[in-house]
Amino acid sequence: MEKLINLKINGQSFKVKVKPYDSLNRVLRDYLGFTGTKRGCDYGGCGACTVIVDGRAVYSCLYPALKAEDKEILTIEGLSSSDTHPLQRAFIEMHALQCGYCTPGFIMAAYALLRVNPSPTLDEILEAIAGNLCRCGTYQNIISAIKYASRLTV
Amino acid sequence: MINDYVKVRNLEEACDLLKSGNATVIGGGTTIFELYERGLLQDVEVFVDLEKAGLDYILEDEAHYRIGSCVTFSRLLEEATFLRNPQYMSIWEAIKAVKPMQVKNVATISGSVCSAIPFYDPPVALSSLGAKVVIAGSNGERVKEVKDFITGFLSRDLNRELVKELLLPKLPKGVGSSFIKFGRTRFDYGLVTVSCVVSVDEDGFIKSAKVFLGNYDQKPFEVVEVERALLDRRPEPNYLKGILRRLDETTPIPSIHGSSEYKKELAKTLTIRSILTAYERAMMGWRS
Repeated sequence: MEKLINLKINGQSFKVKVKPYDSLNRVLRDYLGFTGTKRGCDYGGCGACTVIVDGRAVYSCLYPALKAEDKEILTIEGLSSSDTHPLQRAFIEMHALQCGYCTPGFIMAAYALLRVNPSPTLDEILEAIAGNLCRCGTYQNIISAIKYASRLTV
Repeated sequence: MINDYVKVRNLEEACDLLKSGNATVIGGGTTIFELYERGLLQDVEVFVDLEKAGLDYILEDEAHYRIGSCVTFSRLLEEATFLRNPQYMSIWEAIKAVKPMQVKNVATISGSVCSAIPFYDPPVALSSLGAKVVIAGSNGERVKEVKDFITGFLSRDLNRELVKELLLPKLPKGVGSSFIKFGRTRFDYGLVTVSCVVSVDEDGFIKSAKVFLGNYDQKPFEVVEVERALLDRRPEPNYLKGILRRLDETTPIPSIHGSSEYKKELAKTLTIRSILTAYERAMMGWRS
């Protein structure tokens, strides 16, 4: 049975029909076209699908779309309304990607970290990105980028 | 085939839906969603979401800490300061051992118990601490220890019911606990986990002990003979090595990452470390 729900994504409201078993990832990407959020393993193992719901990072592939109703959802597209976000700039400047598929997930995880902890230690960064995988193995540059971003205004 | 998703407003509404037999509770969703996607919930038609049912509390009464079934791992780490006391460190460490923050932010501790998956960390710690679940259904409530509530792989003692809350017993000073996990990487599921709780008297003799192993059997595995052998002793490493030979008679579940024999040896080493750590923490209670 489909339900018509209201999703608040990047500050805008969207009415969308969802099935009871639709994940937030499916709704974001397939129904609403927010393809910046990636679909990787689709089982909560890779972190490519990470988005922010009510200020906290979640795997959108394991998050029921119906649970997200009336919550504030932030995707990579909404990170900055005008210019490139400092985290995005840091990832570019520190070459923190190769194929780039995992990048939105890493950036959203880093965003969730810096939001509550603007000057994280290395251990705190490692904890924050523990739920994200990079198959190209650019971890060192990703860590450098997050450290660099923490010195910029996030 | 799931054809409805209901956000219930209270426990009664949830119990009514569960009565039909074709509904299941969805907590954070991190396990159940995956089970559904893998085709393991064929006979379930309704997801019952408890998020708005008023079960997101952390309370205490004289005998227990009470944790509502919608409390997430992140909230426990942020708000349940008692978990940093020596008595409850095993739960603190078990929750910290769940690495992805994306999981900790939505997964609930009751959900991890209800999932009944052998390699999940919190049920092992909860079993060792004598935690109980309060089970609610249309016929009322009943209470059961976590170690008995989980009956096997993906199997628990729920009959058209739900877990309303977890009860953690209030433990006196002189009790210490420890949880240790060993995985291929620090971010992986544990190959073997161990949770120990000991209570000691002022002279340092162990008066009670609980030792549970995780990912060792289909459910948290209690090593009763080792528990008994610890009584009225101080835990010297050589003595511990001796009593842990009793694990030779067990048959842990193997995986592609560790054979049964390997897990046995691993469990012995981790259990010694965990008992010694729990003991040190228990002694801290008398020193403070």
